[in-house]
Amino acid sequence: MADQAEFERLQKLHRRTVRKVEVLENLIEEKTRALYQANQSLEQANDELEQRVDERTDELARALRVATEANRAKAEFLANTSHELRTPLHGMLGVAEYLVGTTQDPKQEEALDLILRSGRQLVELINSVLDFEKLDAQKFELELLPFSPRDLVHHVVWLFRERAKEKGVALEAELGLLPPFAVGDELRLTQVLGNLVSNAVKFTTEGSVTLRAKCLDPETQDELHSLPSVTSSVAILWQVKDTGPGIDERRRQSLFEPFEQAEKSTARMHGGTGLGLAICKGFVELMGSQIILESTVDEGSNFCFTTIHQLAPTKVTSVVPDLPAADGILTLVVDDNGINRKVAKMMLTRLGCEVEVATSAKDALELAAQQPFDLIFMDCHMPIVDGYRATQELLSRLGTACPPIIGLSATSDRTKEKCLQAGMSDFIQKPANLKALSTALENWAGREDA
Amino acid sequence: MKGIIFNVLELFVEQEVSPGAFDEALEEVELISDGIFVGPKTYPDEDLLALVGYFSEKLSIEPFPLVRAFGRFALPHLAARFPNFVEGHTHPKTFLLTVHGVIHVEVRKLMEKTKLPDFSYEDPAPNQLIMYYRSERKLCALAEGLILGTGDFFETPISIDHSECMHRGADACKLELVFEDGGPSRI
Ligand code: HEM
Repeated sequence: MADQAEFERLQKLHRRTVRKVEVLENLIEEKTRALYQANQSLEQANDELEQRVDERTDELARALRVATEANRAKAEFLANTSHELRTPLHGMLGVAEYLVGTTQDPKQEEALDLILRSGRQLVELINSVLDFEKLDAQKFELELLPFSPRDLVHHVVWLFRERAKEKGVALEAELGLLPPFAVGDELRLTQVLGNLVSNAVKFTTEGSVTLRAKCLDPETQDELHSLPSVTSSVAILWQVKDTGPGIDERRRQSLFEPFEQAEKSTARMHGGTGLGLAICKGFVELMGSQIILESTVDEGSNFCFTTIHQLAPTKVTSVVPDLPAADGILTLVVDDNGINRKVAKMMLTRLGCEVEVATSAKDALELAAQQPFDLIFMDCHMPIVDGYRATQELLSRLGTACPPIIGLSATSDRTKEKCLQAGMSDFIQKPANLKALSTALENWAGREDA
Repeated sequence: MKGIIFNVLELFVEQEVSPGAFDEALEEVELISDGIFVGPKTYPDEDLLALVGYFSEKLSIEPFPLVRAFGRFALPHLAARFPNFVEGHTHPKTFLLTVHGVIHVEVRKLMEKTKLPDFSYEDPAPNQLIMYYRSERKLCALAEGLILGTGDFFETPISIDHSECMHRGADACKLELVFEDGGPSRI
């Protein structure tokens, strides 16, 4: 009887257990199906997501290509236009410069002065736009040649002394120990320091602007008291200090950004593109340094940077004979552009030269074979045969009888290097002014006649 | 209530009452569900209460001490099913402090349609712990049992003073625990 009860108990338990298993089986099946479906929709979602990511990546890549292309086209357009603008502008300026001193009428003098000043401002503006574009596109290369740091400082001070005097601000150069010649990009350094000094003079109303330069040990940054041997290098600390209004912290942050000016009203009051400091920053960075600005509001600002230079024994192009005038010097101007030819001829004539002109390299070769020129002014960029090849040709045909050749070009970076490599003696950046031409004549022509 | 609770109840009845007693109860008691309880599924609370009522009558034990005894029996089984929750604990106090913030939180993630109680704590002294219990089900007897079971599991006797109770109109049951060993060692 007890066995029977035990049997029934186990039977009930067994039956219930079997049903439990069924329930669990169903549950498992249900869950598996749910899992499978969840997995499927996850996979699908994943596929869709991947596809959308791919599409979006493509879209972005396309947009980037378009934007880059547009930017490049814009930069190129800007560069081309600026270039095109410079040629007629040079013509205008040349004519105006020629006319200065030819009239007694003070009204005309004034008008001429206005034309010259506006024109030069315009040239400066175009140059800075071009520089900026080139820096922006990382296409800028420094032109490393020997220069005199001392002369550079004096030159920059000389450039702004009139403006400082007009404002009643003292502009001073303070020179520490400096090497007679160092290798660097003189033109860019002049541009940077000029910009900093120009700003300092612009904003300072009383007190002084000081341009300092001195040698530091490139390793320790300590001031040097004697120069190392010629084969080594030095660091030069350049400093532009003023007693102007100072620049507050907030504005210091964005000062070197393109199109920024410390005061938004500055543009109206003082002019300028807002590119100056951005370009300075670019140049100084290209030289491996950084502009540091310290400034206290109401006390003044101090911009400085340090550049490293190889020492140079002498300046390569420093043969400077001291013959001032150019009377009777026979020159040849080679330029395919009519206005440029005319302007150069006018200026050289005014300086006392005899001037012949050639419109192409071919012309120039013929003329040079016929007449013993004292000096040739050669446009670098001419169609068919450019100035560099023309120079090489002249040198190989005339040999030692070939007169010194001076390159003329509107573009400036590395052009001087290229000119010297081609065998030219010097380079003048367009627009050539009377002073530059006169200096070239002084340097390169006339000693035999003297 | 989750099937797992019914399964532990079945174990309890088979061991503490008599083998076959659970099947008998299933035959006698009218349930809403079909009486085939599996762990992951959810069954009406009424079925649990009906079974408790049945055994209370059959054994002449008040529902409260019966449910408490069930809770005490259940805890080691729950701990065996979820060893992660007891791992790392050597004292019932530290374990009890994780019931609300860790254990029941994880339980909610593991199982669907749970209805878990609300606990809050006060820690007045090393050998004491106050647990406030709140639940629509008012299963404070189960809580007491689970606490006592925790004491058994960690071999630390716990006395409970159930000073305020939802069944007596309190907003929460106040369970004042004293650990007879003086509390967790501080090393
Ligand atoms: C390993 C430890 C634990 C696990 C796995 C666990 C798990 C669970 C589960 C699955 C439920 C059923 C919930 C539902 O069906 O909706 C539950 C309810 C409950 N648990 Fe826990 N629990 C544990 C420890 C504790 C402890 C130590 C206490 C005591 C303080 C406690 C107090 C309660 C109470 C009182 C209920 C009944 C539900 C209510 O009152 O509303 N649990 N627990």
